[in-house]
Amino acid sequence: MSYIDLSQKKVFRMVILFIFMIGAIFLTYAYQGSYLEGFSLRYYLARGQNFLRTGFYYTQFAVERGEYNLLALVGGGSVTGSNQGKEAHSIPVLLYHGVVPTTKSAWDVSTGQFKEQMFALKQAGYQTVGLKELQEFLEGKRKLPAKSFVLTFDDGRKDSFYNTDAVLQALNYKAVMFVVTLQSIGPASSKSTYYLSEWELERMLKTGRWDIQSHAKLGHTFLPIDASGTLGSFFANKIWIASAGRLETDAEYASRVTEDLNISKNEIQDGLEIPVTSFAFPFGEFGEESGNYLQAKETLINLVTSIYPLSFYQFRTSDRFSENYPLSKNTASNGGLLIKRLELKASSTVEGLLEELKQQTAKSLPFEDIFIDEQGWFQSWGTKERTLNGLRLAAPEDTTGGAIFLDGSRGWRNYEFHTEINWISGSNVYLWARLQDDNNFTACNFSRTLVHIEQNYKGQGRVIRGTYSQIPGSEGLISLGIRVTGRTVECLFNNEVILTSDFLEPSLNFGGIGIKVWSATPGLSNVFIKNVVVKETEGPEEN
Amino acid sequence: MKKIISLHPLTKKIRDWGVLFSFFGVIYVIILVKTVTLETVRDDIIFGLYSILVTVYILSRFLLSYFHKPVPINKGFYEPTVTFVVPAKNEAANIAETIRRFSKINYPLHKAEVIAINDGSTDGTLAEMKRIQKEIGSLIRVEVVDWTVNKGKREGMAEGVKRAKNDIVIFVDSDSFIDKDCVHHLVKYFIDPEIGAVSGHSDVYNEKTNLLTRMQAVRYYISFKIYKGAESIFGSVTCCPGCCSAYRKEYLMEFLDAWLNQKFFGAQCTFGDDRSLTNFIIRKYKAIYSPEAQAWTIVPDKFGIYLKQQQRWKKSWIRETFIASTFMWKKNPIAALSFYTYVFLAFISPIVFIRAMIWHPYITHNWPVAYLFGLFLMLFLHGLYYRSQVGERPWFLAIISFWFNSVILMWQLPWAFVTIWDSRWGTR
Repeated sequence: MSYIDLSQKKVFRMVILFIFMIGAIFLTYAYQGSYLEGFSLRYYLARGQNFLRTGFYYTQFAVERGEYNLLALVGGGSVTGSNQGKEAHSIPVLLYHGVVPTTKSAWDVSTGQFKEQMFALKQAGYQTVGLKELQEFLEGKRKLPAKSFVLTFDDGRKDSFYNTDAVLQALNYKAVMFVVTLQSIGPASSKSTYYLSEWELERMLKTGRWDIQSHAKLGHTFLPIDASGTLGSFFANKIWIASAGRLETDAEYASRVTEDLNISKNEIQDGLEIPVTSFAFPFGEFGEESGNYLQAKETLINLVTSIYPLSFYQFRTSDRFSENYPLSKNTASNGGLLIKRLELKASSTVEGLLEELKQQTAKSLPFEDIFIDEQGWFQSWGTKERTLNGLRLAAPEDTTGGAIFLDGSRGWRNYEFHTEINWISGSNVYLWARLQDDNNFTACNFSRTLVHIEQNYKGQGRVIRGTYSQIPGSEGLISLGIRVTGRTVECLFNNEVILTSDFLEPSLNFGGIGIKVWSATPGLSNVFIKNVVVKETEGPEEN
Repeated sequence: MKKIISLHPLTKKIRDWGVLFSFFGVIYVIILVKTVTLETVRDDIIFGLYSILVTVYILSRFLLSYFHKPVPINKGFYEPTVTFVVPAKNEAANIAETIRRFSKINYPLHKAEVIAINDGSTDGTLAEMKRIQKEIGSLIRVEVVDWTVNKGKREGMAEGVKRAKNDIVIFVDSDSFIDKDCVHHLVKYFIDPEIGAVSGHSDVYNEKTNLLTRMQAVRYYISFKIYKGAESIFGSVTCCPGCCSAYRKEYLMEFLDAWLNQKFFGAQCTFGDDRSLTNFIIRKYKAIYSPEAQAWTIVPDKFGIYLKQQQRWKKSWIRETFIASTFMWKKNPIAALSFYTYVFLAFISPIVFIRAMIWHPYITHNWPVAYLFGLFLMLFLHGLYYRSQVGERPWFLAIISFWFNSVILMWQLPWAFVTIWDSRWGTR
């Protein structure tokens, strides 16, 4: 005897219900794209979570802002930073890797840190711009308000999207994610719990807050670069071919690198249907540091710029200027738009970030410094020491000199740069002007016996003009100066022109300032700098 | 008694339809979610499979129980003689009422008898038995067996079976009460010679005592209606509980001694007697659930006692499941598949829980939203079912109750597994 009731009524009901259910699910599933912008539960759950967090962050932001404004009202004077009416002369680009609840790696920042940093930037009046704006700004086609910046993330990690998006939404910020297409594009990308998958990238694009760009495909790795198996980065080195027992040839290097640059670009373009304009060098390495291929930098930059209008790396102090200046002021360097980024790490603080941005941003003229506050003097050589009433620049025991330069001065054109110094010891003091980078600048080289006007253009240094010097060897304050007006360079001693040349290389028509001391004997150079004054001068009209 | 607020019939109807619609709405969402996440199964075979299995298992319970066949009662035509067996130890408070109810049943009383076994009680249980014997003795034959030394429930049940003069033995716990029509609804199945046991439907008598008993009420209701209901359509109910179940005496006698001396890995089995007895029956015969055979039972109202009871049940579940798994594959394929699926799910669920709630959030830094959402949907489904069946009752408790079961009691299984050799908790 059977105890299943398969009466017509019950079976009929269940069949109807079944058909209805399957139909409903099929319809929901099949037409997902048309009404839900794609259906993925995980996405909507994350969205829900984000929505709540946004509300929370926004409330917090509003309260904080209100508090600051109230303080400003009581104290008189605005606390909230403003960029009203001012124009940007340089753009900083910030770089984050992972954003995680608790940091375990020095390369990650915590969600708390990130939130704090973004809120502080917003509070101080900073606003994000996209890559298109950045490109147009660098090409000189667009003006951007002061305190604009670009926010970027490398590696395409899930955490750096899910833990930041709510903050960006609350602050109305935009960001760029550089993804490794091996991990994040294609059907296999859905497997990773660490990297963003392709559909997550699609959702990111739909928020309107995110841009997706390339961080290589296979290139985000280290490979053997010699017979002993030493590892080196994919892009900055020639790879050891074990089967042949040799390094790659130039051609093999170029074709390997080109292929990866092209594939990653095409995969994003095809997979996400967006234009790809930018490439971030894995590990920030583009061959500038010595690998096993001396021409790596030149070759690589040429290859990259033929495929990507913009390429990104991590700023190093040897780069002199931290921010990115328009192309007309960029020509002397490398031709492409090689963009520097300020890397944020677990150790980064809010105060540090704001201070750094303040110091590195393009400075306007007139400029004056009596060394009470740090204004962005980078020391590239020797020792720099701030004292109560000035700055001491000296060579340590084992070096012959010391040098500093002023971040944010790269955009200056026609100006005179004076400094009062106490020349304690050492044979030469250089005042740099029109400093664009290590290979492009002009300088007045003062010594007790001679004064030279020197220029360094594309790495080729030469003396344009020289004269005998009248500078006394006694202690006490003296005033040195350099004036650059159009193609004219003048060297000044105690405010009097002692040497002039009208034949400066025309490309050196802008650039910042720096001071160098030198002596053939190690440890001898020692100069006390009391102040620096830079004033704009009337220059010839430019087009 | 709480005042019942009467609703307009139409409002009530709309509400009921709303509940029904929500019930299927939840099923729709569950299936949709599973369909959408189907592709992620590839990433994670074991846990993906778990997720699909658990969904299929639960939904299939609802479906199968829907096809439970109602069987008509045969008043005056098929009325076999019955013996109520009530083993009791220290139940002075309830025993009289339990026995009194036997004299009020809608069944020819001359075809019924009661065997009450006093299993070494130290309170007034024996006196109560004697009192009620005198009170209702003119209506129904009551036999009181008095043991001065406690022998255990299993011995008591076996003694009852041996002494029973009638065809059908109905076990009723000393803290359970049966409804007037219960007997008819139990015995109606025995017309089929394949049937060896019939489980009645027990609800919680002391439901209103506190939150714990309310929660158990919901759980009892659903596990009988849905889970036993689903097992019943293939005649393979795995447990006909001691609170109210009927057995055919003839079949019981076949293995009574084997059951009495049951050993598990050398240790005498002293608890889970009902599950064990059912197990013997379904090897050869069928066991059925009768939703109309209404009974009530008193459940623990203290958390500690409740946990101990659950632990005892879990231990016997492991033992009897182990035994049942040696022959269940011979049964109806769907019944067998359901059985082994459930075993698999029960053992893997703590692992899945740890992975979803601790390991995964730790690795991905994401909240376990998906897992919790899935869990909630399943619990919500049970809640809606309860609401649709019993009407205006605190159905939301079903969710808490099943949540409680999933999250807290889930851990009892591995614990029971570890401590299975320890039979100290076996004493009642």
